[in-house]
Parts: sequence; C-alpha cells; structure tokens
Amino acid sequence: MDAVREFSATLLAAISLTNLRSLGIALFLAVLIGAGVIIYYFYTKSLRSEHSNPGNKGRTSSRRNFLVGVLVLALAGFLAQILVPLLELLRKGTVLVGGISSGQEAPPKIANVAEVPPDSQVSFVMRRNPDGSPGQHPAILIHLPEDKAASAGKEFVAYSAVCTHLGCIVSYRSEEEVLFCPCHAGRFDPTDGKAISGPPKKPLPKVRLRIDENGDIYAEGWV
Amino acid sequence: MQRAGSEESCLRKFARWLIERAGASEFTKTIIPRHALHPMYSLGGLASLMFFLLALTGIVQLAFYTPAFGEGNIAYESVRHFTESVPYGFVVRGIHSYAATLMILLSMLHFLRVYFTGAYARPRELTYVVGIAAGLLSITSAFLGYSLRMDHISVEAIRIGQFLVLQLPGGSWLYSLVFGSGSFDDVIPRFLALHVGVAGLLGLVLLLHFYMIHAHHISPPYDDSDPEPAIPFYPNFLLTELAAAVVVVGALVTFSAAFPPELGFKFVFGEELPVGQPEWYLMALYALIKTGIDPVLAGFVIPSMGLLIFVIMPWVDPLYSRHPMNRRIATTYGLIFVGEYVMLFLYGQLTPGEQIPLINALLLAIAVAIVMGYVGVKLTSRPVPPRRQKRPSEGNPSYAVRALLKNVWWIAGLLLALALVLGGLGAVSHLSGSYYDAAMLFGGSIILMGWALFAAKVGLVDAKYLA
Repeated sequence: MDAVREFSATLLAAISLTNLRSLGIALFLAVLIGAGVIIYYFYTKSLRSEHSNPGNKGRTSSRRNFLVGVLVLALAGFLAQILVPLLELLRKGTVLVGGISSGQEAPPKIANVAEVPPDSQVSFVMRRNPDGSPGQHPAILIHLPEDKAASAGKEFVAYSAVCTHLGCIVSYRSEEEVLFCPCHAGRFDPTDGKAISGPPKKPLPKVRLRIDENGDIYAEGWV
Repeated sequence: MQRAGSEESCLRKFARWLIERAGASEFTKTIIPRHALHPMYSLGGLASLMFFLLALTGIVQLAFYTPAFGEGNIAYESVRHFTESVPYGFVVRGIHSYAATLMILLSMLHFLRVYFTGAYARPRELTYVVGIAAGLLSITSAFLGYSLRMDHISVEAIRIGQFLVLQLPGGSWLYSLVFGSGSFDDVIPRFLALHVGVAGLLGLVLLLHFYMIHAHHISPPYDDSDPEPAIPFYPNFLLTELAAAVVVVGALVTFSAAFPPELGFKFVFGEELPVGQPEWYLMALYALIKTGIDPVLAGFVIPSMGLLIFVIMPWVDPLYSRHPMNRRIATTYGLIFVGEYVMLFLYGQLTPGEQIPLINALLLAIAVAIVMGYVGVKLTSRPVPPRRQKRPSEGNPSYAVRALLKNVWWIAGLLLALALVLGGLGAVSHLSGSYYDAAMLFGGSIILMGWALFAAKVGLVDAKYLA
C-alpha cells in the first residue's frame, strides 16, 4: 500500500512540475492525433471500390488543379521544415572534445587517515577488476566504528562496492553498521565483507590497503 | 489509372514510366481490402516509420557522439552537449528517444493484433516468426542504445547486462567477447558498434518481413468473411500513408521540443546516485529477476519459454476458424501471457529499489493465471459462426460524403494556409535563433501540412471510391 501511495505522490509531483504550457501542448497533440484516428476510422467506413461515385463527374478541373497545388505545396513545406533545421544542425553543431586519458597510473591514494572519521566511508576506483582484468572497478573504504574495529582487529577496511547480487553499488550505513545495497536490500558485514541478509550470497571482494607513515591510505590491489 | 491515356499529364506519364521501370508495377494493381484500412492494421506500418526515423536521427547523432569514458564520462557530456548546445539537437535526440519507445510499443500492439486475430494462419507462419525476431532485435537495440547515454540509468543497465552474461554457462568467455575488459572505456565503443549493428540487422529482417507480407498478401478478415476490395494501393493508400507519416513526424517534432528527451544524472565514479530503473519494456523482466530466483532462470529461461510458445503457436493452434473466440488454446494463452506481463510490469514499477518476495510474486502469478485463464475459457466457450457478407449499398452517395466532397477543396486550402502561417512564424523564430520555439512551430506546421495532404488526397483520388 505504501508503494502505491508513493507512486501516486510521485505522479502528482510530476504533474505539478509540468508547466501549463507543456500540458497544453500535450493536450493539443492528443486531440490532433485522437481526432485524426477517429475521423479516419469513420472515413474508411464509406470507401467502396465496387461503387463508382456519380457525384465525381461534376468537379471542375480548376478545383482539381487547386488540390494538386495543395498536395505539392504541403509536401514541399514538410520537406523544407525538416531540411532547414537539419542543415542548421549540421552546419553549426560542434563536437565536444575533452581530455581522454588511458588511466595508467600508480596505485591511487584514497584518503588520509585524518579525513576519514570512525563510522564513515570514502568511495574510490580500482584500476583492475577483482579477477585481475584492467577496468574501473568501484570500491569503498570504511573506517569501522570502535566495537567493530576491535572485533576485526583493524580500523580501516576496503571492499569492492559492486554488489555480488546484480552489480549495484553498495554503501556503508552507519545506523545499521552494515554495507547496504539499495537495489534489493542486500546487507554485508563491514568487518569481513560476508553477505548477511538479502539476495546476495557471495562476499564482497576485499581490497589490500597500505597506510604510510603520513597516514595516507593506498589501495594496493585485491586480496 | 483512372483516366484514359490521351488525357494523361506528362507528370503522370513520368510516374507510370518510373513505376514500370523500377519493377513496381505490381503495386499499382494491388487493391487494399476494406478491413485492412482499420487503424488496427496501421500499427506495423507505423512501427516501420519509427524505424526509418530512428535510422535518420541515429545517423545524425553518430556524428556528434563521443564513444569514450575517459576521465570524466565524456560520452555523457557529448550527449548533453548535443541536447543543449547543438541547434535542434534536442529535436533529433528527442525523436530518436521517443521513436524508439513508440516503435517497441507499436510493435507489441501489432503483435497482439496479429496474434489474437490469428493472422499467422497458413501460409503466414514464417512472416509471424520473422516478425517476432524483429521485435526481439528492436528491444536489444533499444537496450544498447539507452546504455550509450551513460547516466545513472545506463550504468545500472550495463551492470545488470554484465551480471546476466556472467551467469550464463561459458559466461566469462562470452563476457570478454561482448564487454572486452568490462571497463566503461571498452564497453561504450562496443555498445555503440553493437547498437548500430543490431539496428542494421533489424533493417534486413524487416525487409524480409515486408517481402513475405507482399508475397502472401495481407491476411483476410479474422471473422472469416470474404475480403471486400476498397481502394488501390497506388496512389490512394500510398498517399494516406504519406499523410499519416507527415502528421506523426510533426507530432514527434512538437513533442520533442515541448518535452526535451530524458537525460539522467551524470555517472561519475565515487559519487552516490539514485538507483536507475530500467525502461518500461524491460520492467517485467527486471521484476522477474528481482524475485531472487536463479538469474539464468529469470533472465533467460522463463522469458524464452514464454516466447517459444508464441513462436510455435501457428503449428499448435488448430485454426478451424481465425476468430479469437473460436481459438481456445491461443486466446487463453495470449490472455494469460499479457496478464502476467502487465502484472510483473506494475509490480516492478511500484517497487523501485526493493526486492520482490518470491512467494508474493508466485501467488500473484497464479491468481493472474487463474483469472485470465477463466476469462479465456469463458470467451471461447461458444463458437462464433463466420460472418455473412454485407453487400455495399448501391445508389447515390450519402449526404455526409457529398458534403465532404463539396467542401474538401477549401478545407485543404485552409489547413495549408494555417500550416504556412505557423511555418512562417517558425522561420522567424529560427532566424532569431530561438530553436525551441522554432521547432515547436515547425512541428505544428508539419502536422497541419499532413492534414492538408490528406484532405487534398481525399478530393483528388478518393472521390470515386466514396459511397
């Protein structure tokens, strides 16, 4: 029931955000297309090939020429209104260029010890996937709260941030002291990365950390 | 041809020469039966129009898209740049995005029309199977396409795609074949190549589909009555199609300008983003995966089983009659499938970022199967006899038709004049550089041009078929 209420709330929010002009345009389009389908439907009801319409003979050729003119002009107008914007786009459009780097660098510094208070997290990127192939693998560094740190025997731990269920990104939830996956409510133990509840079965791969004398934390690789 | 040779204008002569030499004279002899003029029969044609629009707008976007991730998600930035800074970029991307959604929606409705009216009956079984293949290819291409935006929705889609491929037998071998190393720098160019490649393959499959329709002709009425000839394909029906296409293009231009296409949050490593939900056509599949059953079962086995039954239905369905109420197996299965699909879609849509308890899904699925199965069996309990043909009434045309034919010339002229006014205003906006207004006005003008085209066609070529 909650989900239904939330859904209707978002729907209402979406409608109130849409300004009146957009709503008007949507209505205009719906009426034009809807009316078109209805008119066309009834129109086809009176089409018969076995029956030649006698009312056809009285038409003058000037009206015929007029209709040919409308036909040709409408087609030409259509093509012009497609071509003018297209040519403008191709003539004036520019391609975005930016710095593209190959991403080959030394093991990345994640953070300094002083920047990560207990019971908090920092996201970073591993240059290799847990299976050793090159890639950009999201990972997460956690400063464990005191009780967890005591049981784990270390203060800082880091894991792959990719949920072992469907590959969403997990994050640390301090109120529950778990790693939480928002997609399907999977929970992992922050001390060893093992799955606690929810759909994931496999543990999160661990990252080997090195903390130098200045307190800088580096991701050395996968355990 | 309505007129004798001596009265032919040189334009008409040229058209006839062109058609004959192009080997298309068969089309001039094709008569469209009346039942095929029903809007229900235009769904497939409209889906093809969407494919054509997708090809055109896709080619333009190829020139502006940067298939690289690099340091700061260049692909996303290039899409944003195209949408915001390139003149009319929002229209081109808008048409591409909306036409893709519409193509899948129209294909699904077209499939339902074909399935429930038994249009797959001998000799059109393979046309139907090729059509299903085309539908699957368009969903694949759409998935690859919306992954290229590289916003939070795309990243979610790519991750789930990678995960599902890894679960397959021989998954890691297949994984590196499709995704390379799996980093976004490798995935984006591959997805672009696959997106275009799959779309090209779809084009070929569609050509085969059209050829088969042409070879076997359009299916007779589903109520087993004799088809009643209505209007020739050339030029009457062709002009109807053209007018409809112009109206639809105009509507898409206006719509894209009024509601610029969706672009989610930029994906950057290390930043927390909302969980992206898949596009609506993949939502049922996603809901199935969310129940937590084996992903190979949910992502591949169950959907392919469901589809496979559709594929073999032409050979399973006894087809004593094509009326849906006379085909118990096909109608009941179709209703159950549609019910389950809609149920899963709604369940997935209502539970973003949540797991679906398997027991709930299972109970709901059984309930839907029972209800839809009951409806199907009930609907097919009494056979419907073939419909007796109604003879067209002879005599003078009705008052409405006479009024229409008498007034159609000024209606067409008025529509064209209105279109020209809107187009002129659009041109002024265009020259002053306000592209959003220009696109909106051009779109409105194009819609009216389509209607003017239709009105002119009614007066010019349809008059003698109106009763």
